[in-house]
Amino acid sequence: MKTKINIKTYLYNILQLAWTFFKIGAITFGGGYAMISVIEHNVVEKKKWISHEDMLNIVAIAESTPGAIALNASTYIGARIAGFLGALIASIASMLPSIIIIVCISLLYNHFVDSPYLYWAGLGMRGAVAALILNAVINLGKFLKTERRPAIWAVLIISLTLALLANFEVIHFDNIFIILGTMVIGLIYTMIEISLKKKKASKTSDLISIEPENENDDVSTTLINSELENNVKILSTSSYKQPVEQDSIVNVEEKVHSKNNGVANEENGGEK
Amino acid sequence: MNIYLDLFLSFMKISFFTIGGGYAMIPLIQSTVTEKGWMTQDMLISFIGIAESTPGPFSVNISTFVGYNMGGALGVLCASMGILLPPFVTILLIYYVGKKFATNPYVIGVMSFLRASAIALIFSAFVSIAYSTIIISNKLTGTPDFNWLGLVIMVLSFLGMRFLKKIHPVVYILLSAGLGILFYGFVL
Repeated sequence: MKTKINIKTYLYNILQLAWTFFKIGAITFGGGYAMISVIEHNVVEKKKWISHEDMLNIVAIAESTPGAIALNASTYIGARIAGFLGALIASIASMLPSIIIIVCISLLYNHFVDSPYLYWAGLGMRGAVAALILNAVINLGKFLKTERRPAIWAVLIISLTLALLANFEVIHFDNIFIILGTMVIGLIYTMIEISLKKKKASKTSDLISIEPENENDDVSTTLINSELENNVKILSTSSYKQPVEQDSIVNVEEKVHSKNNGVANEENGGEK
Repeated sequence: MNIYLDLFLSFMKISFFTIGGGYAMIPLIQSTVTEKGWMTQDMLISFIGIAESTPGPFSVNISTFVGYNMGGALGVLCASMGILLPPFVTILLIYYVGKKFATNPYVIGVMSFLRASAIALIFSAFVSIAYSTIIISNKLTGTPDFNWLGLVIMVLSFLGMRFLKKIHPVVYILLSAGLGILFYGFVL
């Protein structure tokens, strides 16, 4: 009897998921962060399936994993509500509206492909599309204002040179190698940075009596905090419409602290 | 190669290497679809405008469009499954295996580098799109022409997007399409 009820609620949840993400997919223009705020509104505020902190965590994961942010978020939330099937249903449901609309547009497009009106409209649109992309570059590039690490700037300049040369076919080169190369350089740099910080931490450990086995957490905590602040900054300055409340940021930070052992808390207490 | 397999693999590659999503995808899409002859540069630019004016993530819009034109309904299925698979698999892995993925110091470190190269890639996409806006080939003679109207629309819509943030970008896309029909069709 009990399992029967569970199956019923499970199916109900899946239907709810499908309908909610279908709606989200149908009403979000532009994708990306615009979608995040719509998901937040529907899933956190209306359905209360996940908390605001979970949502921040999902955004952080979506930013550092492959693929469209909306697909990342819908897969994660689907898995949270109804496991594997939930993930599948939620992500497909969020794709369906755009698939239906674009198929209709393709039919129209192929019908009018030789129309001069379409050509003129397309020609006029180019300027606005270029502006749109430049605007995206500036929004994404906001973090560079506070970026002081020369390695990051070097990667930026080298990638830009290679990408421009490939773009104008001066050299034949797949953009993917820029991304792969950046990953390798980033990983090596981070490994060196972390091992240097560990050394530093072990030097000062006698003063504030940190046990050696906790050093790793110490390093990761400071990194986590700076990244969380970064994320929140990016969120509040980008097109993400709902301003992140100060209290909730503190909550997440506290959560991170409490997840690690007391070392970070001790240090923070000392500073304050 | 079989067109369905090609669609699936190409869009899977695009999706897999677009970390963070959104416009970071455009440079990869640009090089893939133009090299394979699935779309011309001009078509792609128009389609970015169309995608901005229709709901849903850009990647799903473009994969559906290319998939439908190249292989009908089955093409759409293959291309969009290619787009979905990488995020779907990574997110499920993170959900079931490594919940602390986003707070891992190595992931954070690599991400700060990837953000820098993503900006470089998107900026280079902007340069090539701006070039296609300003220099257009004359329809009759085929010689390159300076497109002053494109430049004016670009500057004005950029200023609008930066300083009048309440107006949705779609408005600029639709207005400039209207201006295009008016000027190129009837005035010039």
